[in-house]
Amino acid sequence: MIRTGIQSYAYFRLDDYEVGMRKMKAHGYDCIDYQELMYADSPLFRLSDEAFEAYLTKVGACAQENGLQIWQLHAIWPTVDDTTDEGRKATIGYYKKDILGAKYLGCQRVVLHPCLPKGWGGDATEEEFFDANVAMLTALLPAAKEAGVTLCLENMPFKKGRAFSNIESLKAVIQAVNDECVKACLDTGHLYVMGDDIREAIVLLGNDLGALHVHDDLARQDRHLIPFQGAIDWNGFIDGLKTIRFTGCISLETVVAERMPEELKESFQLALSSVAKWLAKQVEN
Amino acid sequence: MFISTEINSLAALGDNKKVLKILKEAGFTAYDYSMFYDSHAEKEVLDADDYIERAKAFRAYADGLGLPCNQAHAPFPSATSDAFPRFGMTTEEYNAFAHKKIERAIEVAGVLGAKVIVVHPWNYYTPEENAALLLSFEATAKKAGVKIGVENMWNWNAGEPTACAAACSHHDDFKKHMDLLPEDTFVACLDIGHAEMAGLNTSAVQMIETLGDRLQSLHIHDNDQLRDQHVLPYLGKIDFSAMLAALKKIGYQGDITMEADRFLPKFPVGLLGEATRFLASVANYLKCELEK
Repeated sequence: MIRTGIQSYAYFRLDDYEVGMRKMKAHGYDCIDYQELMYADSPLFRLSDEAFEAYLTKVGACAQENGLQIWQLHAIWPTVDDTTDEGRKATIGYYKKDILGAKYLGCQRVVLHPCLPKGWGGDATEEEFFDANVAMLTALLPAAKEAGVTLCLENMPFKKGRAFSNIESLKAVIQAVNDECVKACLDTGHLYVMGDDIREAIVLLGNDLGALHVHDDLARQDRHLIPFQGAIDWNGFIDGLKTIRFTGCISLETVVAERMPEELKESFQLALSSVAKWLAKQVEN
Repeated sequence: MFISTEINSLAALGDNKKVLKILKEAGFTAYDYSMFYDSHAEKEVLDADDYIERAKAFRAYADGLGLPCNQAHAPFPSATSDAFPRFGMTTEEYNAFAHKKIERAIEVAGVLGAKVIVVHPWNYYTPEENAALLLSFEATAKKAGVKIGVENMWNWNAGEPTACAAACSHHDDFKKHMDLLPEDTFVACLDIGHAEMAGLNTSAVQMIETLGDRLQSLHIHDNDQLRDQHVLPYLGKIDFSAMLAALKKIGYQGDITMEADRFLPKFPVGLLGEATRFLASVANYLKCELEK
């Protein structure tokens, strides 16, 4: 069965997760993409080790009680500073905490943005990108294995740093690390920004595809739109997933449009859920 | 007050009876019968020799569903000029062709029970030229028991990122057009998205306040306040609270008619039911806010 999920910010924040999870389940989702550990300034990172474990264990239990699975967790973004050793070490520290958090939540996938050795605007070479990311993943592997977590490296939408925005580079890193605990997270909108073919990307990743960020885009602006309101080739997406016999989760990375009045939010949420379910059904058929 | 939407964006369903069914199920209380070139309406009704009989049969089907036609849309452009040849015809040939089509569309709208049929003014005509064009449909509209809705248009500045003036694109020009047309047969249909395009030096609010009680029909959709995107309200940048406040201020008595016709066609057929339900929720929200 293909599951459906959505980013947690579409339903809840730190203090209203119980209500949010009940609603997610009522709206027909199976899974959550947990986002409370994706910013370095999250209050969760300032908790004591005991409180961190207690809070996230409680969140994980709440998901279970509601029949939901915390399918994936988004690790911190932006990172501390990928251009210096010190910055990279600090990022690794956060990532390790993300991995631990995933363990407490009962979540088996942590999505990481690649290390950008020349920063966001810098144009790292393939070699620099490869070395930095193999080093990063290798450093995180013991913690991932200990936690029973798969690290999923995400494709980015940066035209300047083409090396960390193309699937071939991502695949090369994953193959070099060569461990079942390292896979890719395919972000459909990021791929569209780069102008790459979605079906080809999925087929190229094959069994290395560990997670999805599903959203649509227009004019190559990474707008995180509801699928079918942009220009992504959704038939290619479906066909690619069918070809690789995908069995994961159609996890949406989009929220209710910011300007939507409060009274319309639930209708929008229901529409989003229907879109996820429809995509899942097409992949299954 | 009805909540309604144009029917052309559901063309993928195959025929207009299916479209009405999905609108009814989604919660719309009326429909806007779009008689555009190449539409189901043109093929199913407008171009047929027995178009009146076909329109009656369609009306019977809609009545059976309990879904009235609140508004209709004539084919467009309503006329052309030498610089814009259409269908390989001369200007005179096209204008005669369009005139006949629009007359038929008005008759069809009457059979369907529409209160208003929207007929575009020609973008490049002066108010006087458009008045002459529109008045040529007056007798047919009266006979059909339908009012003609005049819509605000736009042109595009070649090589620029903004729209530029066209017939009724500015609130003063729109008023000038309406002042030349008798109130008993001609009303204003305000296209909210067109009014909000940069470069036209107006806004939906200015239009509403200027048109006052001549405004009896709407085309509601959203955009980025630059291009004519026809997206779902609240996915673009238009301030719908301001629009609603202005409509309240003038005591608007027309319907909430959606023309977000780039929203639905992007969904696969399997999702059109859900997407139409959401469109109806947005229309209903606007109606409730207006009636508060």
